[in-house]
Amino acid sequence: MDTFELLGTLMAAAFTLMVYSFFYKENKAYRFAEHVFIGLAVAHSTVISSKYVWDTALAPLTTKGDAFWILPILVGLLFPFFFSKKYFWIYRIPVSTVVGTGIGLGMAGLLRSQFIDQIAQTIALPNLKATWISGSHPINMALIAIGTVGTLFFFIFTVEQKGPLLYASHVGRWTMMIAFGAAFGFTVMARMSLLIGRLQFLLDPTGVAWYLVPVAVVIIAAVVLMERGKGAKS
Amino acid sequence: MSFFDKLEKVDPRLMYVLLFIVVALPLVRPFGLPISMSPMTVAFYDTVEKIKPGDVAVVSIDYSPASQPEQYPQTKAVMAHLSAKGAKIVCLGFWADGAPFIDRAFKDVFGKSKDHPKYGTDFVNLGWVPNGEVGMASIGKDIQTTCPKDYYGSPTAAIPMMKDIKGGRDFKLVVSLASGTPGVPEWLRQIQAQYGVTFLTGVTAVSAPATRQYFPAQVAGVLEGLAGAAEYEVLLIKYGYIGTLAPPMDSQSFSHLLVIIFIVLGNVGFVLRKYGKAK
Repeated sequence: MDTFELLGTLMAAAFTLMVYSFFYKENKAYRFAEHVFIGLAVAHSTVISSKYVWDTALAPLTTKGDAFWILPILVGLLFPFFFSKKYFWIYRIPVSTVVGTGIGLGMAGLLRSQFIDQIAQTIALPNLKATWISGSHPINMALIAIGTVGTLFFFIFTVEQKGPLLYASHVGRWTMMIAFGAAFGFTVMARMSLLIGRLQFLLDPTGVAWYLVPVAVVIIAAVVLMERGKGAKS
Repeated sequence: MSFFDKLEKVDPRLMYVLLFIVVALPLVRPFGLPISMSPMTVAFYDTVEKIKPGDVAVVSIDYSPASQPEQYPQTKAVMAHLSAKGAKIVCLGFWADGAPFIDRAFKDVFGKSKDHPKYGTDFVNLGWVPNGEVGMASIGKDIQTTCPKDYYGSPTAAIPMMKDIKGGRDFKLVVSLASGTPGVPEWLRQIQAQYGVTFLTGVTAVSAPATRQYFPAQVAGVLEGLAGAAEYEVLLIKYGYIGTLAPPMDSQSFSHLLVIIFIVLGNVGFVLRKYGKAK
């Protein structure tokens, strides 16, 4: 491991521990790490965005005389008018260009991929040979159909929900609760994975990051003892 | 304060300490718990298995360092599998801070990145492509104009394997390792729906419920978080792939067990306290 790699690993470990110090309570070390992270992320994005603009637009314009790129560059230069109260309206030109392009492109595939194909999958015939865990198993298809219809009934607000409509709406509510529960479970799993990833890095016996773990434990223990001492005096 | 009141008001810091212990212990001393197999992971593996030598596979790194623990193992496993099948791997990314993972994955999987003798013939790193969904539409139409240079500054048109790859019609497979926007829905809208390309994804566990709705008709296979990556590593053993996720999966299982215990205890405390009051 060369010097830069060693320093990088130790810095990464130190910043990880600074962020995790938040588990005890909000503190300056945590805030410092948070600000450095945001600053680095913005700096990284700025540098590689600038490189892309150079490679894609400025280089062809300046080296090959590709004049087409003048137009997008000029539109891009209008973004800083966001900071002017007087000329803020100019900022709307690039924003409307970006939003318009995005919506136009999005709509092209949206109907097919997120509307028609989704409905087709919901009303598709079940596969009698599918395993029980597959979404196309007859029981699962029936559950999907009942849940979808029930959820749609839950969002009917034009008539009072009573009688059969109320029962259908209850099915929808239960379906959504189960879906939210599944989403919560997956979120817990994802958060644990992040913690596992960091601890794997910190506790790797072949690396150097673990050197800082006992240091952090001692610092946090000292802070806890000092605060308890202050509390006892007051 | 009764015992049941205390159960409901456990100091969160106690839970954090327990969580750290429960997660750290299997990492230091793995237990080797069995890893089950989900149908989405099997479908993912089977789809890559159908790739023939010379087929073009686009691997898109659509995540940031925040998702690294879940998605970097997915990235390495996907690249190793595609390489074993002889695919031409075109790597790019729509997240600015995710693109550097491509270079790292090349080094970890192939030993070298741009200095590798097969760089430019078997795999290429086109780096970050800006503008999210607009960028995806653009690579579908003309990948060489959208990415005029590779990650290391070489003109894309001069890279041998890129000579026959013009756009979406040349892609046999797209694998998006995605943790947000732009991600799966954008790829489906701009590439899968437009060109009928087979699409696979590896997502963070948070995104998994929102991705399942596309399986199997639109998304042929899904790797769901760390568990999906671990399952995929097990399937790749036959290619000699050495996975790293068995100890983390032990940690995952034990941490879930701890969360379940605390949820049960909290609810038992709540029910018994309420029952006691009603009495």
